[in-house]
Amino acid sequence: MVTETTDPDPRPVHDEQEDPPTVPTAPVRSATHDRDASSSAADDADPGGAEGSGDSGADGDAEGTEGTEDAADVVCPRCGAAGAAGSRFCEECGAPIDGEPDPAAQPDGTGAADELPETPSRPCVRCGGRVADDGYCEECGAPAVSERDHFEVTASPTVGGVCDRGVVHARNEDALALGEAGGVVALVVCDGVSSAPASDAASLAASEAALATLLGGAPGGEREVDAEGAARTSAWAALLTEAAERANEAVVAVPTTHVDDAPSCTYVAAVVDGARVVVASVGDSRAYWLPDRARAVRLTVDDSWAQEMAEMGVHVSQVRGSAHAHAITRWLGADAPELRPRHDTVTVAERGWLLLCSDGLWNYCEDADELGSLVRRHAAEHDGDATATARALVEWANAQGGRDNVTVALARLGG
Amino acid sequence: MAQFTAEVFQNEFLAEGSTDVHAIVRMTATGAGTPEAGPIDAGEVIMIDTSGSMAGASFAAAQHAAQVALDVIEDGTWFAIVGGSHVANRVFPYPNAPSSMVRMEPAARAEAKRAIGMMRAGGGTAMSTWLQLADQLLGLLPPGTKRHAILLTDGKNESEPKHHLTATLERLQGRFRCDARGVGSRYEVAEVREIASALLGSDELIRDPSQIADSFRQMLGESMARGIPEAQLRVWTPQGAQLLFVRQVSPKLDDLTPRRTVVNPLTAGFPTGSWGDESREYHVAVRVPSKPVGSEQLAARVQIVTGDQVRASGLVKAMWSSDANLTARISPEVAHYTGQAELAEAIQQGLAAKAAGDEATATVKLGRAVQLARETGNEEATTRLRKVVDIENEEQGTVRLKRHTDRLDEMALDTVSTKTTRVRR
Repeated sequence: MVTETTDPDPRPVHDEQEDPPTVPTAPVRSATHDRDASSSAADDADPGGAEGSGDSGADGDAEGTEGTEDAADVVCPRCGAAGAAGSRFCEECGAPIDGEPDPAAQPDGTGAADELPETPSRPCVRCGGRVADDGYCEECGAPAVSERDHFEVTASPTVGGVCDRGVVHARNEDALALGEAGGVVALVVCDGVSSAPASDAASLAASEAALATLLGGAPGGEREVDAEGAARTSAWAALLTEAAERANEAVVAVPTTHVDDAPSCTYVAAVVDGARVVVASVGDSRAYWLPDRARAVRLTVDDSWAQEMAEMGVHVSQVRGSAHAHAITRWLGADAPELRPRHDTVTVAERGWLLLCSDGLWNYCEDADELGSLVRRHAAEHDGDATATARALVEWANAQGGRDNVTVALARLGG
Repeated sequence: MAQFTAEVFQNEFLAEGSTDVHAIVRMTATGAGTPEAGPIDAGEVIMIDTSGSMAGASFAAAQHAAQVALDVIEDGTWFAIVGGSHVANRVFPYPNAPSSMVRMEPAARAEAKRAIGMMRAGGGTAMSTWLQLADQLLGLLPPGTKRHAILLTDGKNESEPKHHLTATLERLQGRFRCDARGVGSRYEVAEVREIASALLGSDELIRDPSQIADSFRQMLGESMARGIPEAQLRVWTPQGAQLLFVRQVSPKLDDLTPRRTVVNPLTAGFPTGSWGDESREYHVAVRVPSKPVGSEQLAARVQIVTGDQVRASGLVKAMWSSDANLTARISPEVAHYTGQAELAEAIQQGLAAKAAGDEATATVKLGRAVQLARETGNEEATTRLRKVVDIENEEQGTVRLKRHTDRLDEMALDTVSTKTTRVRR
């Protein structure tokens, strides 16, 4: 039923689902948006598959931490679980890994091993209140959230983002990376595919690999983009494609015991170089240019079944209710059908917001102009601070139901 | 060393759009018999009704009971005896004695018994004056002293307006514990209950004067065994939430909500008085703003605090779910105590209607009480209801008022209405 263009293996993902009225021409896979779609992943996770990988002891526990020998070279300072090199967060307990082990929590069980899991000392992510020893905020009563489940990145008051687990999902499989170097701003959002295991590790690794590549294009960077005019835009586009390749390699390197269902994620990245904004995407995470006094522009086209249906002329109302409505047709990962990011570019001539987000946000606000008003409204309430505005948008999405992970990255452009 | 534990019984799952969280929190103290830091100082004041109505068998029995009570009070305990009519008199230490309270020792005990024997009945009844004198006496004791009083009456508080007593009780809240006893059939159950409830004590009906001594012995024995002089119940609720009520539901019903004090903007405090080895259960109801399905929130922290130290903490949670199987369940504990509270109300309203001659209301209310007593397994209430009504159908709660009832039976039913039974398991 599903034809392949680049991968000879048929995709099993939709075998249990009803055939859509029209079969997509590209492979499809259920994205993060509904966990029910992950039932096919369970079919794949039979012990035979694990034995096939040559690591028969790994099924059932600590998935992704012992798949390959050279990957397990960092140790979580809180719980002692082994993690892949370069991991920012422990895959077991979500604690940040900063390379400074806490002597009280050695993995061999000595020290304070019999203590309860350490109380997160950072403030409540919902209201900023103190989190009590019982694991709940002393102000608003929200449960403590691990670092992986909610993190914020700020490059400057005008460039920042927030990545959040949302309300319904058990794990945060979204990831966010952004930075500024030599006057160039780069933003990356990746959304892990929840039907595949370890996609939370995959999305984080992908976003960081992509950001490192993109910032290499800044002045003084190892891949400095020095062309001028139209060639400069092309050079950035080429670097965005290369960043997608580096991100893809990072995803492939994430250890997994499930050979038949590799970790995977979406990719959207943007580079701001003066007035030039260049965007690339794989999957259904989006970028928007939201000028203050002009119509909003969506800079990305989804690689999704819904998008393909729309392109075939099927009305959106018929697509929405389908089990495939949230299936994506391209992604990063070992089983990715092809790695060909779509590009777009825009020249900033006025003030406005560049927004990158996962579907956890745009699912609640599909109209670009409405999204623009939403961003401006929250920005006005937070004095135009990018991270605070992103946090407010995440809160807004959670108040709408928070049915998926939510990631929002913002850059204020045009002075 | 006394230990407290907290247990929470609730269904934390809320349907979409729901806002009200109910939980039963059980606080249990163990090892409370042995005082925490050496022997604690204790003060006991015994208030005996000396109004004219007491004259006769009741008065002699009360005198005897007070004398017996002195034997139960341990040496070293501060004590005083108050005789109460329309005014309050210090019977012992004698009015001309240099100190208003003395420590118990054999000579003091013998002299106090003599003083009690010289008491005479006469005058009216103004209980607020008795309580004020008891407070003055207990207030002389150093801070940290366990303060306890016993009040015995046989009549109505008829020599002062009702609001005097209520205002006095409001002022005295938390200053000492008072157990109140009514003897015979001429006192007001509601008045004795009001005193005991405000001053965190027990209230009981003593049918026959011969039983006063046993009752006194028991009250003082229990008081001596309470090694924790004062504990506070604290309820934290999140910002934006509303604490609907806090009700003690076991061993007896007592609405604590009006006694709320502010610990901090998010935390309410309620005095619970002294504790021995015992369990008490509280029904806590909190209204929180509704959250999207899948959200989790702490709705309340319910804590027991002595000094400024949190001794036990129970967490009341809210989790919004779209699974009706989860959200439709009512916690059996919450259901049980909600039924018991309704039972108490039905009994009290039914008896009040009956006293006012409104037989129709009395029949309906007491019928409902019969039904609730059955549903909640409160056999003592059922037994006492049977003395006031003829039950036609227990399940449906259809009853007929008995033609001739003993007023003592109605008072006993009224008194027992606030006593609850534990959840059957």
